[in-house]
Formats: sequence, C-alpha cells, structure tokens
Amino acid sequence: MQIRLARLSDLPAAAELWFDRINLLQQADRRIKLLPDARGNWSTAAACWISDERTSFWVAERDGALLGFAVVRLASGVPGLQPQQRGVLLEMVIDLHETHRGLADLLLERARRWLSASGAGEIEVDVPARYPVEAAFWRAQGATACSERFRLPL
Amino acid sequence: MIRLAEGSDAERIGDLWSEMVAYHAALDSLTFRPAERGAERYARGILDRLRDADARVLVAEIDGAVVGYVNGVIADITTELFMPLRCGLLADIYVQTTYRRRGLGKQLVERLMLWFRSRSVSHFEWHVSAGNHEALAFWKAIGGETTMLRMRASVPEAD
Repeated sequence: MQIRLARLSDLPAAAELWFDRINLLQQADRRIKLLPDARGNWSTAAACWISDERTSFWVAERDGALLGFAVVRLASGVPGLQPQQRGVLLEMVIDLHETHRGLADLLLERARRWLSASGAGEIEVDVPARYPVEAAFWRAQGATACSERFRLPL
Repeated sequence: MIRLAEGSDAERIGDLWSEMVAYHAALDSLTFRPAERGAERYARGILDRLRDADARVLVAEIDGAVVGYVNGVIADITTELFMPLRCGLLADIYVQTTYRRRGLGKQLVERLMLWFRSRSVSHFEWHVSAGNHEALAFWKAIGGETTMLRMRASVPEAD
C-alpha cells in the first residue's frame, strides 16, 4: 500500500471511484443531478487540483490499482471572522470494496500533515445528513459538528 | 415592522452582526471569532448587498429602532459538475435577545420567503450553528430539513 500525491495518469481511475460514490449519493438524495459528462467535468476539475499550490491531492495505491483518494484545499476564512485560513476537504473517496481497512485514516493523515505545514490549524468537512456512518468516521477523527445546513422547499 | 433595509441601516446592522457573533461565541468559542473591524467589514458588505438585484436585506424595526435583520441572496449553489440550481441562501438572521419570542424572526423569514418565491426559486438553504439549540428548534418548527452536517477537526501542529 502506498499513499502518494496524485498524478494526471491517476485521474481516469479516480473519476470512476468518484462516479461510483456520487451515484450512490444520488440514489439517496434527489437533489443531486449529474451533468451528462460528469466524469469528464470532474476530471477537468481534478486536473486543476493537481496543479494548484493551494490544493493537495493524495491517492492510495496497491499493486498499481487506485483504491481511494483525498483532496484538501487551503481556503480563506469567513469575512470578518477568524481563522482567516482553514483547510477544507473537497473529496474523499474509497473504493467500495476497500472500506473499513484504514485507507481513509491513512489518506487523511497525509492531508492533515500537509494542511498543518501550510498554516491551517483545522479541517472542515461537509457530511451528508443521511449518512451517519460518515459522521461517525469524522467523530472518530476528533471532529465535532459546528453547523447544520438546512433546506426548505418554497 | 418589517421593512427593506436602507443604506442608513448598514452601520446598525453591523452592530447587530457583532451581537450575533458574540452570541455564537458564547455557544462555541472555536467556531466564531470576530476579526478586527469585522462589524465594519460586514456593514460594507451590506451596502454591496443593497445594490445587488439578487440580494435582499430586511430589518425588523420597533419604535424606530432596528432590532433584527435577515440577509438573503439568490445564487447557484452547485459546482460545475452538477446541473445548475439557483436557490435562495439565507446568510444571516438575528433578532436582539430582548425582542425574541414576539414572532419577529418568523416574520423576517416569511418576508424573505415571499421574495424568494417572487424570484421563482424552488427552495432556500441556510446554516445553523450546531450549538445553537434555540435556533435549531426554531428552524425545525418552520419545516427545515437538515441536509448536511459541517464538521471540523484540528490538524496536528507542523513539526
């Protein structure tokens, strides 16, 4: 098992992992509506993440196969509030056949170290309310809920 | 009285924002820490909103004093990966503690909802501090559904 920075050649496999996850989310949340070329759009964005100095894209690989990835970005704080710099998790996806094997812990550890070295003291993540397993994972990482996002149809 | 905010209200709204931040700081000191001259910057942002056709700021006024406000905007909340979706965003709402339980918060929200509807958006969204149980109860009573949980963890200090 190797945790390393992503390369452009990782993107086709990473896009497939992302698509598998977003498909699952879409089945549970009708608000998620993918574009026809979602994989292509995602790959374009992901290529920018690889070259962006304020973004760090880590992959987990075993025997040449991509098993998961995590992407974090340094972001500005809320205007008027401190801290003025924080880390934001953009994506974390684990191959559905590789969950519960500590991959997410390893990816996150690398991402957190990079954020720390870049001057961010905390990492923020949005967890779907309908996925308590994800919230449990983040609580195990020491995360606490800071806000809830609400929605109301008009 | 609920009315549209005017430029002359911006400074007062900045003061109310400061009160709101202090209120939240008491709930969660890690989440809300005002930066230097935060209220002034917020008031400048309100003036920008007043010139923005996709934004609406309303105030609650009692006996000539502004005691609460709501700040809303219409925006596309999706990334380039998803179908565009314009929706209402309620950025901030605050009513001074003394004037709560008079229905002012609900009136501010209802007036903002009327404007959202007039702009043909199908829903609106907002964030509530996880430690603000009074606000969580208020929003659930209005019919809001939690869709995402924002979580925060510290990162280790650099070696």
